[in-house]
Amino acid sequence: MSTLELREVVKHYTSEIETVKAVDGVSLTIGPGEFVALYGPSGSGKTTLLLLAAALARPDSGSVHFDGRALTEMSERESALYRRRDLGFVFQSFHLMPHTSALDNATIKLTGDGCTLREGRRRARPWIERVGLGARADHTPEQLSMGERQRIAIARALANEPRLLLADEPTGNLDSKRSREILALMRDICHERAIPGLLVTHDHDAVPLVDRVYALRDGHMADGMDPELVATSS
Amino acid sequence: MRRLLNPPIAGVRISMLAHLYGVRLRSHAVQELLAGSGIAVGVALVLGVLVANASLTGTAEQLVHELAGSARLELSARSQQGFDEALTERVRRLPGVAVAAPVLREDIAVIGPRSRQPVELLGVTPAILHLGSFGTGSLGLTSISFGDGLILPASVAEALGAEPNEHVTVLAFGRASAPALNAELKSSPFGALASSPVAVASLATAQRLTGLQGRVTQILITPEHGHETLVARELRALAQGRLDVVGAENELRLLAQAVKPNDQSTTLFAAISVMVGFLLALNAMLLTVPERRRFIADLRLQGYDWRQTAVLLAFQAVVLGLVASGAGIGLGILLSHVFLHRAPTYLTTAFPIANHEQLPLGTIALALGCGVLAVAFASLSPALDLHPGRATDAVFRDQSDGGEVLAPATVLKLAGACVLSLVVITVLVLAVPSLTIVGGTALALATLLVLPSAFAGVAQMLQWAGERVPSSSLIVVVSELRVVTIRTVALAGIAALAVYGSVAIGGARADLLRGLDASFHEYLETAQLWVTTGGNDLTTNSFQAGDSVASIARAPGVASVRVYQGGFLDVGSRRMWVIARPPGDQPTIPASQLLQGNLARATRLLRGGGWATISDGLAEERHLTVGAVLTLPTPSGSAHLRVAAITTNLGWPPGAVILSTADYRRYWETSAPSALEVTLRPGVSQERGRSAIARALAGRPGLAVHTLHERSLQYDANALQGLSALSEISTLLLIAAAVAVAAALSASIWQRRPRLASLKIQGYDSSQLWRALLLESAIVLGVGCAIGATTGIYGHALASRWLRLQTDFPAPFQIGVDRVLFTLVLLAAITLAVIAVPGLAAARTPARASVREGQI
Amino acid sequence: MTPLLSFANVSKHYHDGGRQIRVLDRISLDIDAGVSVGVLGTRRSGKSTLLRLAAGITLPDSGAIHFRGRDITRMTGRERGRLLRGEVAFVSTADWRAASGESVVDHVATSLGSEGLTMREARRRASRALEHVEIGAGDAEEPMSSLSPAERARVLLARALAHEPLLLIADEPALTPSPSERDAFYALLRESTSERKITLLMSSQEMGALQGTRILMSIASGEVVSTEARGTVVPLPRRFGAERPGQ
Repeated sequence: MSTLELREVVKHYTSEIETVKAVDGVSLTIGPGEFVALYGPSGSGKTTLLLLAAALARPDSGSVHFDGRALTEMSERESALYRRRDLGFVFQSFHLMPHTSALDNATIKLTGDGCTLREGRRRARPWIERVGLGARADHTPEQLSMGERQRIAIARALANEPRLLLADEPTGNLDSKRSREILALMRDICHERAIPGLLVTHDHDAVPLVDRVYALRDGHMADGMDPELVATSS
Repeated sequence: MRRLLNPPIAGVRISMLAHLYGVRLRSHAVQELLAGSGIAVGVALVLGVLVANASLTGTAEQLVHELAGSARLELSARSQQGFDEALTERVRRLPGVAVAAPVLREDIAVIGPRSRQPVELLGVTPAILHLGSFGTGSLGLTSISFGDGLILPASVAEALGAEPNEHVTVLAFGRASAPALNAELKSSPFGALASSPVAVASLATAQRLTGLQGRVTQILITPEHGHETLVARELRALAQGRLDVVGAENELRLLAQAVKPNDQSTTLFAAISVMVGFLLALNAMLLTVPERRRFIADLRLQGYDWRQTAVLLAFQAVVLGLVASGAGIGLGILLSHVFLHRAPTYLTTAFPIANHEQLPLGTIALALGCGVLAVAFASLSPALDLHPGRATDAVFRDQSDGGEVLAPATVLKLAGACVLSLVVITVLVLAVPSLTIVGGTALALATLLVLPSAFAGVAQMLQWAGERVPSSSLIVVVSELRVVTIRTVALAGIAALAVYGSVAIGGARADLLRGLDASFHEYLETAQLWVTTGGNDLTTNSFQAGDSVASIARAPGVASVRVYQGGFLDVGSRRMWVIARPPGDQPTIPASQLLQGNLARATRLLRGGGWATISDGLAEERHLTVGAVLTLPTPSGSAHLRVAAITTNLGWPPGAVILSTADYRRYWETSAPSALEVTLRPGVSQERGRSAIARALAGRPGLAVHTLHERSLQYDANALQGLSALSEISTLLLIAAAVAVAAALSASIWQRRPRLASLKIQGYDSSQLWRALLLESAIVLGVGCAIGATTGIYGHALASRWLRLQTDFPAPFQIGVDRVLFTLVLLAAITLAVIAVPGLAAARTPARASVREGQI
Repeated sequence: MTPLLSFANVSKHYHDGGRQIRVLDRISLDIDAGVSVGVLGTRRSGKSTLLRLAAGITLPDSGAIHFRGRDITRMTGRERGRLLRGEVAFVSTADWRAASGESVVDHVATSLGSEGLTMREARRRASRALEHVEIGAGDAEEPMSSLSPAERARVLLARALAHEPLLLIADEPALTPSPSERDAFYALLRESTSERKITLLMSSQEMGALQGTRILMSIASGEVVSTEARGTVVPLPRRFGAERPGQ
């Protein structure tokens, strides 16, 4: 079964002025079907943690494992393959292809992995329907609301049937009602497919919708819910 | 005081405007530099073209002005032999004449230690001072001493390697003499004279050097105030129809006629350059638009009202426009200096033209205006935010990424406009060939109009391919090119216009060269060896034959020697090329250049005397057809010849007349040859023949022997050189366009980095992204190039037709496939090579960039 | 006494993916001179729209907005621009973007350029305004881009105060600094406005930020409820209230 596991991960960024301890000894395990929220103020290392889980950054020490495989040991080609086949990623700013239909947007990872557009559309269509946009599959992002755009992005993240879902502030540009809908959708999908999901957010609406809450501050993990940290993070 | 120097405009101090611009410069130096370079390159192109043109006629104009001084009228000879100088006294005595100054003007060659220079000899008397010629009026000079030597402009003296008081060799009328070099003309006070290819001497010296004792070619006349008409009438009576009575600046009209085809083709190029330059600038500015809009919105939230913001925008546009255009003007001057400054040799044989740099203020103002206008136009987009109905901070809520989308309806409308303009252009140009230049410019616009629909078509094809071909790069490209944006069209437009210009002008140029080559070959092939004064393609300088004909005839291997005559003759506003063919010249009329008439019959009539062929231009001007009577103003009065045939202009823009030497001798009253045509005995090589004749002419250093082949080569070189400005501009245009397209494409790729980074998180690797970026660039370029090449070939056909019909140049249309391909490959190779690097860098953007805050 | 600012039946819509969303639905409210008003609302609840309308940055679809008795909706674009130059100042950290390399004092000074000051005069006034927000001469020469979010918020406050406005509108003026920094900033904001008798209209998603304002308003579903009407209880946004998890 799929499990994301970070062990004693340390990642520092050194600039001319100072060394930023983005992540400083964090351990975290997310099991199958678990949808976890990670809170923390700006600069607390949340984003770095996501990049580590996406095999886009290498820790200075510690290890990141997914499904028993060490992401830290992968070659560039292997890690690209990992992102393409195993990973679903949802961005705060959606990063949709402009002027491209919702359905075609959802095919991007499939075509990146050698599908024709036609084949990609066939595989992505159920996901567009799953996120409730079946009737608007031909609309372009410009014709859709913010909430609908994020739904396309979720369909896109899921179209390759990933075994891990990562989300970076997915509700940062949405109002409360849409936020809750989007978060519930992501949680349901993690449960249905029994895959781990990691959500980095500022959004308090997420608290009741996730299985567990972590808070990150200055690179350290505070297990469980810390009301003060959560309150200050928005 | 400080405040006075720093007045508020719409309530904002100039120092504040300057500071705000400084902020923009510091924060977006690269963008601003890119915009500035785009404008500078555009302005440089425009200026380079305009300056190259102005320099050509500018020196001749100045020279004519300076020589004429206050003279209003001119009595002018119709041949090199001139007329009796005693006429000067008779002119002086005419009522109403204030000043009359005789001048002897002849083409000579001066040989110094370093080189041989063709110059125009100006033999003058002190009377010239009363005209205030050569700027002497302003100097208040009352006497000038020429001694018995030559005065040469510093530029000529330097080229010759001659110092004052040294002796140089002068070749004139086939004679050699060695006068001393008296002085060099320094640039001021002698103005244009100092850089013109002339030599000044006293009239007596000039007559001695040329052997034209007692002769002059011109008398410059200043009539008393209000007596110009009277004096002109008197002069005409005096001339008895054997001399021309014209305005003192008549020569300028003749020159204008000669350079007209050149002028018009450079005008077309200038128009294309203006458009390319404008697009370069516009493109560069479009890239800065999103940033500018945000900057302005922030200021407006701080209380800058729309007028102040408009002032700020205008200030930035003017500063950027002026600075960039200024740089462009510098670059343009450099361009024209390095590439375009040589005067075409074919013109220097008939007019005193030199490589003098001219920077007319009007031209500079025009180039500056183009630059500032382009910037101002591109600034309009941020200015749209100033509309009172729009939220002040609309930009912060706007989610487009700056590439304004063209709606399908607009694309269709533009395509319709393109088809319509193509039809109008075709009908117009077919009906009125003189409007071809306008048509060519309109065709360039049509090229731009068709681009959006071309991209819409390409998007369809890409979509079709994407559905069937499993390619990760393709899908990224499909989504980028799915809609037609102004930015894409503007980018491809640069490539399209550059290719259009190069293909159209390059094609017409190749046609012209081929036509000229064929024409001239036929002109020269009447003899195996030519004896001339040398260095004159049109064989217009006559010389004293002396016993040279007999000595050549005696030389071993020579079968026959024939006397060829000819020169220039001013007919109306045309300085016509006169070709007088001796009996036995084969062919007398170049068959390939015949437009009307029967070759065999025309040849027979011409040899019989009383008949001539003329160029189409003159025929049209005078409404002459084959068989009609042609009246020519010759030294013996009006000659009445009948038109045997109508030809092209034989390569000389104002046109040519072919007649028999018998008629020439009769009407020009001279037997002086301008060439001796030699036919060798069978089996004698041209080389051997040439050395034999050279030996026979040992005593005549002023004469030169050339083989048919040598003269052909010389002519080709001169023709190429004459048209080189065009090919150089066209190459520069291509390179500038390639670099500009590459820069603009790179910048737009750079702006997309967050989205590229997001693709990485979705499993795309750098090489996939790089391939996609290159593919996209290649498609944008390819569409632009293909459209440009298509309309370019059409433009080429129109231009060749125009050359034939309007300028009478021989220019048979032929598509140069290899040339078109070369143009495309050159442009594409430079552009893709330049893009590859930033493309790679953009493809390597760390994925981190996509998880920072950004738009969509 | 005429209120400084009053909204009468103001409605505003915006478009989201082809659908019309009613952000403000016939809002009426009055704000007297010298008071401080806090507007509480969640993300995308319409509080920014309310504040932008008050500043004349955007116009309502219907209704009238009077500032000192003049109807903003009937002003010319130029007059509305002038409003932001003198009488009204607008602060928002969300939309603000630094031009890299510009120093703090220059950044504040350029915003004074619209009043016809020379750069030298503008710098002098900017330095004074910066001192009020406890940014000294040394820090004033630092580039804008080197500031922490909390420092940046103070600079933007100084920039607004330098115009000596009657009404300061602050739309979520301090995003995500730490709790202590945040409290210090809001205290500074309240003090500097009350000292100068500047009317303050500010918004936040957080209750804590609005503590100490005299009038509290809540905005949700296009409606505004204010504590100003006697006996009104402002309904807190959901997450401060008693809604149960999982709903």
